[in-house]
Amino acid sequence: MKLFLIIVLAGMALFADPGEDLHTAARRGQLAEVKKLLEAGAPLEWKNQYGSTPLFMAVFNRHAEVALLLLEKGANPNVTDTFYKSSLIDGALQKQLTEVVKAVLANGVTLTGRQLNMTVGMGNAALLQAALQHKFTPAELEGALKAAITVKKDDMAAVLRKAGAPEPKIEVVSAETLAAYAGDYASQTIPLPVKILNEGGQLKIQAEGQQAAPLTADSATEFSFAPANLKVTFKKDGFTLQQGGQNIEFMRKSMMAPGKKVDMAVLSKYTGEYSSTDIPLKLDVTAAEGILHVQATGQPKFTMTAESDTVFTLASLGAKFTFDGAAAITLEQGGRTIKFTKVAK
Amino acid sequence: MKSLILLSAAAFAAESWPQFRGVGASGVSASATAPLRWNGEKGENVLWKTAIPGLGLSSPVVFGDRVFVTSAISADATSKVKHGLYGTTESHADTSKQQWKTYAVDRKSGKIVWEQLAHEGLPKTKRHPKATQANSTCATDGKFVVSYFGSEGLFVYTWDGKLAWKKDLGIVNAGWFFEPDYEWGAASSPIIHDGAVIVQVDRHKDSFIAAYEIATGKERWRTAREEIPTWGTPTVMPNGELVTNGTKSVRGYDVKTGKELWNVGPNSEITVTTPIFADGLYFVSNSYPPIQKTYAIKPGAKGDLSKATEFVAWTQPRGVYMPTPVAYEKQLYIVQNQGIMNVYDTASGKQIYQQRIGTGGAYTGSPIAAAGRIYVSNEDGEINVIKAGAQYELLATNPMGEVLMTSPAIVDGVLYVRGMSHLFAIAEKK
Repeated sequence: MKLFLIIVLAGMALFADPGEDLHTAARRGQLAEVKKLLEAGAPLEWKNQYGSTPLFMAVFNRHAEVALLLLEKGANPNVTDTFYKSSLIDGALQKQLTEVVKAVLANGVTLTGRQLNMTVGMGNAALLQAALQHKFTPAELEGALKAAITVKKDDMAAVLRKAGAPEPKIEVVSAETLAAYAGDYASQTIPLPVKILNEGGQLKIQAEGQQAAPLTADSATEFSFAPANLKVTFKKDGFTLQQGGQNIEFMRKSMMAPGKKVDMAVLSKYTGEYSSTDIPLKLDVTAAEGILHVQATGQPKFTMTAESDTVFTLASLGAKFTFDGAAAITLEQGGRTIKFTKVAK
Repeated sequence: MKSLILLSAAAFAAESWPQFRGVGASGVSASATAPLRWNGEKGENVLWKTAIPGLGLSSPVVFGDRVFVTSAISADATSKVKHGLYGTTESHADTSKQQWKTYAVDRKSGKIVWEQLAHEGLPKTKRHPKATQANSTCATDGKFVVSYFGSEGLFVYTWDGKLAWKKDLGIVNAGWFFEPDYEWGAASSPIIHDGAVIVQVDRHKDSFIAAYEIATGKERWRTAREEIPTWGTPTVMPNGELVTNGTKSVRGYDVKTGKELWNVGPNSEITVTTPIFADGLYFVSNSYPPIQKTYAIKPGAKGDLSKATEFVAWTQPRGVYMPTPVAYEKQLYIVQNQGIMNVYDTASGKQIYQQRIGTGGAYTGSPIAAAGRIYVSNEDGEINVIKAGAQYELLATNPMGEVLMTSPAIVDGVLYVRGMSHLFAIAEKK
């Protein structure tokens, strides 16, 4: 019996993982268990397969007391998970853990203007005050103040002004211009319809299934929603949306007419791979059921609109493709004219 | 001529929809006819409409003169499913007492023939706001009816509704890979093959796939899976390979022994769709970022297909999150959650067209096909009928009057639809 117990205990010791236990207790907010495991020497920086540590998960699940204890014990606050690539400080800001934000910043973690803008969007003055422990540049403070003004958060604006934020220049755009931007837009690169709303002189952007976000005018054609670090630049019959390092072209739905119907036999002649001696770019032209597509090297596939049997356009990109028989294409875009010749069928 | 008649009669008698998405999970009906226009709300072309108590996302299965569905009836009568296009990782707040039930409904009249209470008590695991406590579709072979309720267990009934056996498969805490305490509920459906019930039980620890003798519940084989929670249903392919979707890999097993034959990855961290077979290929599609992929795999593979690439016929860097695709008349129809339909050539993977169905909305139920048409339901309670072929043509949009999140069935020209509150039988008057 004694031998059996020893084997069982040895087995338990073999299979128990104090690091994983600490991770579990931390994400569940079990303060007493966390203390016990730490006293027993559980590794503070144990990571699961997604790179999250006990501190990361305590913050993730809003267990401020556990997070503060782990920080006090020396847990690394500079953690980013490997799947979503979220940083611990982002989590603490999003979960509005003011005391944790203070402790993390006191441990040397830095913030960016993007994170300050995001904090403004939270509408929590104490949290913003905590974030301002970090020394932001005047431009970052000005951007955040602009974000506060955009979302009409007077208390946030007051905190930022007190912190020395310069007054941002708010562009006044005419009612006629704003009204002209309103409408339904779509992109040929992502399947997400977007509405531009003009609500009593306040321009808003609304993606399908999402809440409308107010836009601030940076100029007569450039607008932004700073809390989400989103920028919209209007042009004729469309706009460019910039977010997260991506530029996505949108155009008015009414401008996305299917165009002229071209016989498949004609389209088939145009298919193939084209190259140019002017630029290191290849075009892959494909056709399916009366529609011609073009894909440039490393770029998304676009659907072209037929203007005639030989001329096709991508209105959202301001591009015009003229086919010269089955052997060549002339691309006109941005004032440039580039010749492509077919290299493979 | 006589033999032709006999053959037709046999084929007619054999028509059924015995598991999730019908025979082989194909989603393709053998019916030569299928309804085009109806109105579930007004009763136009509705043969019958039967209220099903509680909440359930199990799809209807049809065999002989019966239709089977499951449901979970919460003690909290206000408990609902939150539908629509949104994302949340949180579990639903309803953890109140539930009754897990199976309903056998008469195919002609819509009357409930029998109902069986599998279990009553507090749920052992929570559900996603967009899920219920009864997500898995029944399976039947005409003798037994199998209902699977995740952590509440596997229940096998005789045709007349008597419990043949039940099995506790342990806690099936299917939920978010990133935070295991965010439970969403199991949804993989059981299937029946060669006298065995096969279940894919993927959870945070000790995942497995197993086959049990349908008559007795005796384990035929059980194979451990190095997997985290998944929600797809396993599919037995025509050559006897049992194919599963999974986060680490799509895998093929020998259905007789459960021995793993091949695997291919990488795959999405959340996998929901069910593998299907058509035109000599297996199709598996997933789209939880960053890995969004549709695989077309050749049968008969061995080992790691990321190395033995000759068995991967083609891949597409675009997949689907919830609805399982349908392959019909040499085309693969993939309906994304926001109602964008991508259609590919099954043999080459070449895109034929992309089209938003109707005005968009949320799509969770899987598309099915019959009589030259593709049937696609949306959560707003419409079933769109699209002409199968190389060009998009919306033939009809039919309102049902309630939220739709399950996959319909078509047997002998009758469409069976499980809405959030009712089970419908639909056919156009001749």
